[in-house]
Formats: sequence, structure tokens, C-alpha cells
Amino acid sequence: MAEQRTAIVLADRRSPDIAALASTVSTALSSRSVNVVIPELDAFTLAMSAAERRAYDTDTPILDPLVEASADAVRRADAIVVIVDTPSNGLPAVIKGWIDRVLVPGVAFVLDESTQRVRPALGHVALLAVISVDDRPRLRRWFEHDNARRVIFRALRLVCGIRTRTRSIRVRTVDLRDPQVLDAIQRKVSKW
Amino acid sequence: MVTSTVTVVQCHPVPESFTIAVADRVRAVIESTGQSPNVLNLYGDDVDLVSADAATVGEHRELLANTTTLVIIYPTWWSAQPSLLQAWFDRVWARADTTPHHFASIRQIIVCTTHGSPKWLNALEGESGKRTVSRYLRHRCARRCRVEWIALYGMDTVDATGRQRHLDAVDRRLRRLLSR
Repeated sequence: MAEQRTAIVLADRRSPDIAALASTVSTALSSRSVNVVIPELDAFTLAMSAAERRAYDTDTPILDPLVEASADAVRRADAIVVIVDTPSNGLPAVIKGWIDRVLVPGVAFVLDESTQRVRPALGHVALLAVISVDDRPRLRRWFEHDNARRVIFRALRLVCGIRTRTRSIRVRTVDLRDPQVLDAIQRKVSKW
Repeated sequence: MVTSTVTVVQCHPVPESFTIAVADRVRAVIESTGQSPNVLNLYGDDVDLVSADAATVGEHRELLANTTTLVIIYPTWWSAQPSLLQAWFDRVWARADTTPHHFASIRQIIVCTTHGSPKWLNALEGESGKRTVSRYLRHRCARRCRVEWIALYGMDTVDATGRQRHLDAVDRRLRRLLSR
């Protein structure tokens, strides 16, 4: 019997709209028998602590059990889906905090001690996706750049495998209250 | 004549880190020019920026509204600012209630940062942190606001001599920028 696939859905669910979107994505992935893991970002400490930063370059960079649980999920993940709303251009702080604290050496990459070069460790991730809730007009988005997607599709993509696919959806906040839009997103995600 | 006011925002959890050494040098240079910088230490001030009340956010905005030179000092992690600095951007600079040129007194943003990876790899990663400052923050400052980027790339392979050389470079460039 084939092993069940795992997807991590990262979302700051304090906003009801984002929570509804995360639930839609979760339903779509579950319909394909994917085990969906949604880390409780509310319970996460936002920032890397001094102790964690000091431990970062050691063999045990993770000190928090919550972070360890997420790191375990990352080690067996087949897909990572990041849902971002962009209040100030970059990734939402709670998601950036999760990335800073969970994707440490030994989880997302391995640091070759002799050459000091980074070796990717997320080759098992087959799908990297971003769903951005972005209300900026197109011209403003072009001017400011979409830095949340840039971090995921470029920085994070570099520690994935050569066959890792990327997918993205962009949606406006007001459209999230339209059930038809959520249905369309569900159909799209279930085809990923 | 506009009085020059410098605000330093620093963000690193470890007091003995190189980023804090840079911050110490920056403050020393500013003080040597006869100015007294306002310092926001995002780790030291112990403010929960995610759930900070409106009064705290208002205080930070008021400080920025009276700033002419903003110096931001942080380590680049995953091609962008650390989460705590991002939270500060989200709360204090957020788009929802900020009009363009909101902090119109800021005429210069100086960024001092470090990157673990070399410059070519950062270019491949898209330098999101740099773009957030030059494309997003700058648009909310004075119309002709300048952005100066003082970065140490490939920090993981730089020895003590290289780090000292970078500190001296920060010193030289900052003196030149503050005398403009």
C-alpha cells in the first residue's frame, strides 16, 4: 500500500477570510487522500529567541517542541502550501517566524562544513504553492514587487528538488466572501 | 532649516552577535557627529508587535514622523527581514491605513545587514529584503528619499579580519552619509 501523502498548509488564521481559505484548501487536498497538516501559528512564538539563534549552528538547532512537531511534518511533506495576505509587502510576520524557526539546518538544508555550502534537503517536496490575498492594483504590485511570493518561489525553492513544481493563485479579499470563488479555488487546488 | 533626527531600528536576538556589533558602531558614529539617535531595539524593548495596542503603534509612528534619517540594522534570514522586523513593518508601516509619503520627513534610509550566503546566491533568491526597503518603505517616505545599502555578503565564510574591515566600512560610509 502506498504511503499517504502529506501537505503542510501555512496560514495566519486570525483573519476569518484567511481561515475560510485555509479550510477550502484543506478540503481540496483531503479530497485527494492527502494528510493535511495546518500548524497552529497562534501558539508559535513569533521571533527566534537568543537561545535558538545560539543553537542554530549546532547539531540540535530546535529547542521548542512545537517547532519540532512542525519540523517533523516538513521532513515528510510532499507539498507546502503558503497562504499569504500582504499587509506590508513581505510575508506575514507569523509565517516568516515559522520559516525562520522551523526551516533550520538539518530540516530545510544541510550546511557542508568543509565548503560552507548549503545543500538542499527538501528534495522530497513535490509541490510548492502560494495563494496570495492581495488587494493592490496591478501597477502598484509591479512597482513594489511581490516579495512574499519571491521568498517562497526563489529562496525556498532553491532548497527544494529539481522536480519540485510551483503553483500560485492570486485572489482579492472581497472575492473570498464569494462562495463561487472559493469553489473555483477548491477545484483548482484539487487538481494540483 | 530642518533639524536632523536619526532613528536606529535594530533587530537581533543575540547581544554578542555581529549585527549588534554593527549597531553599536552605528550608534557610536552618530553620537560622534553630535547627534543623539532614537533607538528602537525590537528584541530589547520587549514589545509584542503582533498584538501591540494602538498606543504603542502610535508612539512608533510618531517617532518616525519626526525622523529625517532612518537606520535599520538586521540579519537577512531567508532572503528577507527577520519576523520581528516584518511584524514592525506590518503594524507600523502597514498599507491599510498609510497613505503614500506618510513619513514625509524621512529623507534617507540606511540599511546595515548581513547575509550568510554570497552575493550571487542572494541575487538568485531575488533580494526580497532589499526590495521591501527600496520599493515599499521608500514609497512611504519623502518623495526623493534615498536608500543606502551597507551589506556584508557571505558572512558564513568571512573571518575576524573581514568582519573588522566591514565594521570600518560601515563607519566610513555612515560618516559620509550623515554629513550630506
